[in-house]
Amino acid sequence: MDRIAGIVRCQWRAYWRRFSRARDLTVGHQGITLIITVLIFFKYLRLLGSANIRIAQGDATLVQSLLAAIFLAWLFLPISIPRADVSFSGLRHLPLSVSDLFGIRIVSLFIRPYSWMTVAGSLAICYPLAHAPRPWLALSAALLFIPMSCSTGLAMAHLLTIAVWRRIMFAILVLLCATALYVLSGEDAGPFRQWSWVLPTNLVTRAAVGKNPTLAMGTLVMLNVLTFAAAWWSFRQSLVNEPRAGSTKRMDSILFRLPGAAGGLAAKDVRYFRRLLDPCFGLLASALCCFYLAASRAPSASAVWISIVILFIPNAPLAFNSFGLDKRSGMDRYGLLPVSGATIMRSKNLAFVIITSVQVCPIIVLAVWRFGLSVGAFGLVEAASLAAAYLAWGNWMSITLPAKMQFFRFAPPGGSLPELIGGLVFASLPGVLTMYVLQMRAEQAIWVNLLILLLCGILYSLATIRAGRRFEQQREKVAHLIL
Amino acid sequence: MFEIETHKLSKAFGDLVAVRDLELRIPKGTLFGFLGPNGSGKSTTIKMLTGILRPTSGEVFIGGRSVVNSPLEVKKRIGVLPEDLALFESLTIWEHLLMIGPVYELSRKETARRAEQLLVYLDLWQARHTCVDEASSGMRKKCSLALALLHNPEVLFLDEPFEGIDPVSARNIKDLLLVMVGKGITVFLTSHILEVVERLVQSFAIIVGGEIVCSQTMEETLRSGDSLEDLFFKHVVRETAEELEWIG
Repeated sequence: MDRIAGIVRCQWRAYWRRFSRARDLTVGHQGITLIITVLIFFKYLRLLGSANIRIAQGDATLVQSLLAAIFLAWLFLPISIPRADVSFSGLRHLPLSVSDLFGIRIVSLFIRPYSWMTVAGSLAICYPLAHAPRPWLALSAALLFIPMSCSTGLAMAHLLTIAVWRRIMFAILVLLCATALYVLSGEDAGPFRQWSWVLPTNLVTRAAVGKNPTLAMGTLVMLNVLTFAAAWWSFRQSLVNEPRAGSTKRMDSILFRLPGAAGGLAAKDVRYFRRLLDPCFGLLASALCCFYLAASRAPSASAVWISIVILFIPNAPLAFNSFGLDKRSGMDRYGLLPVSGATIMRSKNLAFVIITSVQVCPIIVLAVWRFGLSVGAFGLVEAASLAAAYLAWGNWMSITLPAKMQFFRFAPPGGSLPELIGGLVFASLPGVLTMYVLQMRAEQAIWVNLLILLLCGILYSLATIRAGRRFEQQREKVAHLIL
Repeated sequence: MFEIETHKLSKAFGDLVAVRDLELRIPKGTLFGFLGPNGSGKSTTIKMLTGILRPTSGEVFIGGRSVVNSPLEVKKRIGVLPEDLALFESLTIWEHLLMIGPVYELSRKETARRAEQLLVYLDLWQARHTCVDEASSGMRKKCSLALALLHNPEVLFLDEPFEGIDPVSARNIKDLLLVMVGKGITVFLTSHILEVVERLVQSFAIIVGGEIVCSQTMEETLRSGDSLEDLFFKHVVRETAEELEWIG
């Protein structure tokens, strides 16, 4: 036990040492995050008050929504936290059993203040549940629900480190979203609604106010056992999931044939960018839009333009923090290569364009099929303008406010939140303008959209040259900030 | 004219002066050894010579060109095996070579031809599709060496090239270095294996605490009757194992 406590103490110190190095609250969004958290907390307290009154009257819908929010918070907690300060691959050299390591894993989850807030927020749900018609059962159900959510989050975080499971989970996500779309559209959703009682949030409220609370409690206990076993098993898998001894040729190796000095470097970045979780949501948005275009009887052309604007948003970290996935040795290689900073920026930008093209192109093809060539062409111009705007802002931000990102994790909100929000607003502007022009001034749409594209192109060129020069001068600073 | 030349080269990190007023003059076609204990400033010097680190003061010239003023021109002419190997995570050995070749203006065909020859010579051909993060430290080092050699550099900087390398590959690398020097290529290497350095280099310098404490040719050393090891320990303080009385 002492050994585990010693390691956890080291992790605690390492985290807070890094936290205190940031020195002021503007770094790493600490100040803004604190303000937003306090605002959310106050809103949450008010909702708890309302939920308290409603559940006493037998209405559990608000409590269900709050439980869903708690579940999501626990789901994203282990994924959003960067890998441990003392890595498990390092700890494996010590005489510690897998149980010891799993214990360290669980305890280290609670080092960060965000985890404490999640715990506090989760326990606060006991307040309305204590006023439910069956308070003791409701409280017990809530206390089963919280560890179950935590175990699910842990299992997800562990499975994301295994390639096969990542694919399976993405397929499940697409399936769930398609089902949700189908249910929300109200078409023959009866069978899905019948099975909704097995959702953990429904089980808690059922134990509090519904019929057959024993069955609900039993199911919750079973879910707890299952999710804990899943967390344990996935942790073991993530430890033993050694890299293959001899990798076979990779599918995206063909990208290394891209011409020019920037081609090979771009191929490398495509591989890196694919390993960030954020673009998966762009892919999801693209898949849902394609599903809509293919399945809807009378689709709207606006959906194409709106989807293109939306799918660029999760891809923003690739443009705004393009060095975030590079390591110290990679940054040194950039320093050794006889290429200008602008060439390196262009290689990053080309990788961004390849990733977003994979998401945009199927929409354009389906748009041409459903609406004709003109809608497809407008979509293409809109996407090009958006890409140029994102990259113009992103090239500046990648040099001035870089932040470390990790494979198979969501991009952390590095840099500064005002710049991030400003970037999203600025970069989405060409898309919004395109939609506005198409709706309001359809006869001039071609020229106006081409003008927008030209302006974005000029802006991008200037930003790239400037960012390239700054990268040459500040490569060491960028490398230091992403370490 | 010297192939590698520095004037009062210094590098400070805050209050810590890592390298102080370094003066080096290395003629073309020389195999030069740069020796020193850990933390003496060897790698910092290599980083400044290769344009990775900007000197705090002083000048560096490679082939008569200033590294600070014409970094791209210099980088085209040098090959570097850096301390951290400067490899990209998640890329295979083969992909590294395919990526780097065009950066040095080599055609794809020529890159593939040279890459194949280099990998066969360094006994990496069978492992060419291994990801560098899955490769052993020796394989990673050989991959980085292959990257340094791919474009046929005029000056080669090698930071600890024999560390973690198997005996066959080490012999191949030594042979290759001698062939390169014979063809007029300048090699600047650091190594802790003094016996190897003694057999390979034509001249050397010993750096301690960021300052050069000894600089001479191998011929001068041998003439004085000292071995390189003797000379090294004249300048570097060594602790004795008797201090660790609890061991054993």
